[in-house]
Amino acid sequence: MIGSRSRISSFLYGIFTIVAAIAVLIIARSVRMTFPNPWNDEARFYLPSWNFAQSGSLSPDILNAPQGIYWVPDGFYVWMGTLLTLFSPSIYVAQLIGEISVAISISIFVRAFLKITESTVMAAIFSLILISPPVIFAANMVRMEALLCLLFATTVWLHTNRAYLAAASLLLLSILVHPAFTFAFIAYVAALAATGNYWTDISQQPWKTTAERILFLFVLLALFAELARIAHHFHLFQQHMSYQAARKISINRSKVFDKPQAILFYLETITTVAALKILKPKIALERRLILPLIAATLGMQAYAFLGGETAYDVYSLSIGPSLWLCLVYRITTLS
Amino acid sequence: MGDNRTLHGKLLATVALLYCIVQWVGARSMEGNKIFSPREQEARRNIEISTEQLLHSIKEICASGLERRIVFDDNDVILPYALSMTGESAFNRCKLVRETNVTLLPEASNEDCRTIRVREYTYVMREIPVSRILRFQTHNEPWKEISRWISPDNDLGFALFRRPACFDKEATSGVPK
Repeated sequence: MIGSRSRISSFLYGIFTIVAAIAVLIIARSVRMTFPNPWNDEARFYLPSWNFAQSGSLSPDILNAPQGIYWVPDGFYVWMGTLLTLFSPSIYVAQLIGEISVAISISIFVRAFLKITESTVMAAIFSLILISPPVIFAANMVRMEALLCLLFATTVWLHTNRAYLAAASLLLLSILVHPAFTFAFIAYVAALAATGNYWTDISQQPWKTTAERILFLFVLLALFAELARIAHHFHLFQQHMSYQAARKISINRSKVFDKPQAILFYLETITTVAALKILKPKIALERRLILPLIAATLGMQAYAFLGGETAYDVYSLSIGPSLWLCLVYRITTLS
Repeated sequence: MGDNRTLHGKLLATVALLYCIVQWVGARSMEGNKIFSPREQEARRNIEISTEQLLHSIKEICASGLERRIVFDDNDVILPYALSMTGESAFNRCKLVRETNVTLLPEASNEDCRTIRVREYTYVMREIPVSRILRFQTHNEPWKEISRWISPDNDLGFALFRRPACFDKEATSGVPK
């Protein structure tokens, strides 16, 4: 009887996973020209990808940048450019790629939430937070947020499957798409190092770690390639970063600290610290699962609220809180 | 213990459901973009028509077969749509360039009669009169408008400009420079 109930519940959760992803895709498609309206950021990020699709080069002449563009690392341009080459170099295709990526990432999050909470009902409720305006906004922006959602969702899923090196590699890869995940990566690796021994993990699952090591090497190579490119065009990199720094400084910092994004971050941090202190003995066995994910979530949200840009709301308002609730639920239900 | 778990679960589920509602209410409008805006169809038409109009204007300039440089500034939103509607090869010897705030063209490029400047008007500039956006000048010399299009709802538009001196040169030499 329990077995059949569990099968039905698992089947229904499978349906929910698909429905959640399709719901995001349908909503995003239906509002793609007004949420957001066409804006200049699209051109800034689409044109280098379009150029990569046309010429295989990361130096878009069309942006008067024959030596490259250095607002962010080149990960997004390579990914989007490759997909545009495979399909069609069109901004409509780029929008669709973003929407599908976000829909896939939602389904991955929904599966990972089940692993974390071990309750279909609770996982489904927490997943509802992902069917939200900031996620739709991220799906429709022709920017790197869609790819970052996909990478972070896969990171969380890999972590729940104890593929820690692969999860860390994907977080590192995220930095090659946008520095927004720098804090998350550092916090995740620190928590991972503090909660276990990598070599013990390897001895438990040698086949998995071979694939993970290949992924890690690939990411390291990509990282070195990007660093070499920056070093080669350091003057241009400095120009881009000076402009970015001036722009970020011009954002009213005092407003950033009392925005809902910041308040959520404070609340989450305080309650997490309190929960960890109170329930410390119970967490001991599960700290490898819980602590690195909490660290990555708060790291992601810290950058997002400090950055103070609407594009980051998907991390501050949707992904962060939903994942955090899953983790808090897990902590509070430990026996 | 079991009761505690159920209680925690119910509490967190309530928080999550309330948060969902708050999120939909609070974030239904982001950066002035409203989700489920009744303007969706109109916005699609606007971008399509403005793209067609811009392509028409550029192709008219490029039809002469002379070398031209069509320069967009960092406020441009239409160029990606224009390139999606037609390939770069459709522009003959015209070269399209979109400046960013770091990769500006040198001042000297404005002296070059091959340069045509494009200025765009978008919904984010609603508070500013169109006439203040759709203009271009260098060293207090206003450039001459070649063509202009603005959507009926004033949400999207563009104008193309050229240095007045370049028209004079063409008139005296009889050949477009």
